[in-house]
Amino acid sequence: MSDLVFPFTAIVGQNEMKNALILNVINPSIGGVLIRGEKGTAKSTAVRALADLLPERKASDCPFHCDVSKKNNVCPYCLENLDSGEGLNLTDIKMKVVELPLSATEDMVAGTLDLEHAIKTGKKKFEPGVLAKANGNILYVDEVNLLDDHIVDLLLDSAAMGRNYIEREGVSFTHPSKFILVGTMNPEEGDLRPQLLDRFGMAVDVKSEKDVESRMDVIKRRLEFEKDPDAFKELYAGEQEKLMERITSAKDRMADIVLEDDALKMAVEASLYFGVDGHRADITLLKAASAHAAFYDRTSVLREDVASIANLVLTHRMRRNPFQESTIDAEELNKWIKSI
Amino acid sequence: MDQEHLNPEALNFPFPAIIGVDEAKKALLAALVSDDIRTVLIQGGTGSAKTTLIRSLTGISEREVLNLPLGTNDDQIFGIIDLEETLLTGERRMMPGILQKSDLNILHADDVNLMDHSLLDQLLESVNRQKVLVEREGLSYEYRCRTTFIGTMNISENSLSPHLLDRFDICVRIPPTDDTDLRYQIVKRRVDYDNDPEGYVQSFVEECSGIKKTVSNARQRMPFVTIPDDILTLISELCIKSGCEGLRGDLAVAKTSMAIAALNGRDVVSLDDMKEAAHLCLRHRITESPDNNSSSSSNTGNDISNSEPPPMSSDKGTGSRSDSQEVNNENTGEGDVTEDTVFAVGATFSVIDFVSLKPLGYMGSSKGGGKHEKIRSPDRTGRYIRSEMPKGEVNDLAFDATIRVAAPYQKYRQRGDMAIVLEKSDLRQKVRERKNGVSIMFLVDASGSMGARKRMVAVKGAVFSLLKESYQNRDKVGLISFRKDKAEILLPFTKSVDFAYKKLKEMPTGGTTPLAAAILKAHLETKKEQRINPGEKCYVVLTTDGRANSSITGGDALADAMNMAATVGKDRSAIWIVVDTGIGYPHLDNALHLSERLNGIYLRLEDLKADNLAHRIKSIVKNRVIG
Repeated sequence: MSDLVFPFTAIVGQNEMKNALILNVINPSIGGVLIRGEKGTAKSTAVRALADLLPERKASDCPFHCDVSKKNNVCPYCLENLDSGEGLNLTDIKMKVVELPLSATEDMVAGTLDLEHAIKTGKKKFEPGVLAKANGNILYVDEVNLLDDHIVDLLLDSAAMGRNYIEREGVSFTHPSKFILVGTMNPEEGDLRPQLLDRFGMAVDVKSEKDVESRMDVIKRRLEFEKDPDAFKELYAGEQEKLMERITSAKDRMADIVLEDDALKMAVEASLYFGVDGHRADITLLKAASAHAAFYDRTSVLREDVASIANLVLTHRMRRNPFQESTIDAEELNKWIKSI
Repeated sequence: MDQEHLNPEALNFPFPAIIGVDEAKKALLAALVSDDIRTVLIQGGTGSAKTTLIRSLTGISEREVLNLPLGTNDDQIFGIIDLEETLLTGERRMMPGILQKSDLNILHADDVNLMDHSLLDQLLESVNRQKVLVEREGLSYEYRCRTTFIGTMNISENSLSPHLLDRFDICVRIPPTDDTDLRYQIVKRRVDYDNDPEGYVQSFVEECSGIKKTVSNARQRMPFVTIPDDILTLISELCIKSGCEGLRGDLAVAKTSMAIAALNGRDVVSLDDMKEAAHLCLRHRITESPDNNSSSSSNTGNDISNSEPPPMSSDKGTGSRSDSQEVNNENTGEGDVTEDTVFAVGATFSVIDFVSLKPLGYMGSSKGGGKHEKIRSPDRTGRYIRSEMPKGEVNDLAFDATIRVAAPYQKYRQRGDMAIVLEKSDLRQKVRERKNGVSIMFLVDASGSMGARKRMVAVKGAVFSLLKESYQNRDKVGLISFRKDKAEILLPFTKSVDFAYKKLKEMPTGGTTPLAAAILKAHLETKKEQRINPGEKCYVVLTTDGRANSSITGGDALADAMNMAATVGKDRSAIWIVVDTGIGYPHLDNALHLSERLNGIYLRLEDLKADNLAHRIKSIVKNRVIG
């Protein structure tokens, strides 16, 4: 199956969406991205294509693949091993795109009592769910606006705290569940709950290509890919490799990025100017701007960095009445950037 | 396996480093000082440091902060049979629930407004009584829970009922930060923390232990703190003036002012302590008279909608206030609109809770009647809330409950290699619950007569107000307009209220009135919806002036509509709300007759406004239902 993934670099246009995805991989603490658009705008293709570009990471070999650089967020098994001084077995694993199907039940998502184990041994054991698999990975929900409310509730907790707390069916358990939340949706089919919307670091509105030539390009590439996927992928192997290297090196540089006071001020001003509630927007602006700087091979964050990602971070956070158009208009944004 | 072995809190953002949330901090400190302050609610917009605050408590208190995840079922909260122990010993043993584990500690529930409300009610009751009594699976068990319960919630979704709000001793709302400097400071601190969490936490260690000391000194002082009689009198007066029902408010203010006095190192409560306490304890208890909705008190979803400016279309100045329509009619003339015209959306208002009105003789569920109540899910979707003895065939086995039932008997059963042997009588079935879906179809008369005196502006304003309400409740909405010779579905049922608004705005007016066709169309649409989603409650809101001049049968259009209404009314699959938009004299009673035939609820357009007539309507409807 994974062989049939359309190459990310072969996707025509949709630069905002591609940028948003890449920046999130570089800096997962941005908090994911919500992609809104009509059917057939390569939303899902892009997310699935991202899988090929994901870097490797060091993780423990426990069922949750704990990120051991964060000692304050590991699973009980790893904690026990750490406490006893036994140490952890580390492996290199590739980041994945874990999908959350709409039909998932709550035990599948949160995890549940391992029934077989209970019947055979009479002991309780926790059987991990999708939130466990998602730890350290991308959690992808297609048509996220159609997800049942009680499943959304489960996501909210984990997305906010980076940990899944299970209190159900006689099981009391907690494990790390830090993921990049990626959702796609067609706005015509319904709105997203405000609380879930807020958990997305970024939001992108995608439109289908209006330009005839690009449209033809899209179709040509798609047909070519379907005719002979392997040959098509070969065609883009070089570009894929380059992009992957660029992402990996940007990720490595993240720790050294210097945040200039200037950029910080600008983020605050942007949030205020566009009337954004809370401080998550300001902080996300800076995180995204840092990733942007790293991607463009710089060590300090400039105002340009903030300006170029502002749209991604701010559009879905503006204090608004239910029926206002939510996109910041490009003109207003440009005006604002110039005014600084 | 348990949460408490972990210490992920060690590197939490430090309490003293959080700025711009003074009230919330004071509330939390008071709760740490006084064991009599048991429940605190913190409301705030997104990213306003609610959760950060709670997590920082571990740095300034000896107590642990336990987390109550959403979707926890009551077994888990109150206590449950311990499977392993019971299997081993053959006797029923209790496994402590979260409440027992949080005895003498702090229990935090994020997004507390999304919790099952009856469960939250029970939880608050237990915390306030400091005692839990569990009766289940043949075991009766009692334990103490001296817990401080802290709920946090976002104000954008699902408000809590006044009843639940009242159960919180303290409720604070974090205000948005509009000050550039403060905002800069907040973000700067966060960035510094993110760069080097350990170093940052270290730099606040001293300040944290200072606060810890203050809290523990205040705790020791608490037994000696007294309230002078004149301040007690003031508290009572204040509570009466604010319209607080019951005495919870008075008590909360008293307890909190004592805690604040102790924090300030005083043994006697001062006027200032009391004032500060009143801010924390009374704001969510103030009841407002309906004509006074501009006050600063802010607890229900309703006033959020009040405070928003009406999103008027800015293009033309046509959207004058709906209530001035009747007077202001010179520029369009008296006659019907013959050309297609798109009218602006008129002024909006907060609407009455029309869906909880019940028509005469409505045969629906007798319990509650509120439209957003939870219903038992007939299939395997929804949240698992508890288990029960199966009635008939088991199709959704509750494994955990089944094993717990079987556990005590395992010693005596022939088990072979298995640890557990089940018998048919052990089987338990899951009871699932899901939110009752509500679908509202707006059936809007867009014929020429509605253009008269720009009546359409007011109608659009009214429908928009209703849409706004639906948005907050996350209902499904649809839109059908009828004009010329047919009823047209502008929007099938969707959860996108945004979209409905767009359609409504663009909806043209003009032409004849095919009322019968419209009623049929809406009926078929709701039937279809109910086929797809069984159990869904459907409403049709019909706005009409009771005129009809285009028939299906070719006969008299009005008679046609009345017959159709009678047929549809017998079906009772949807609840019809007929909003009479007719104005002027002589007033036609057609719309009223129509609603009678539809077994529906009849309202004048003016009646929809929550602020002027809501109370009258509610009492009328109540009498009708009881009578």
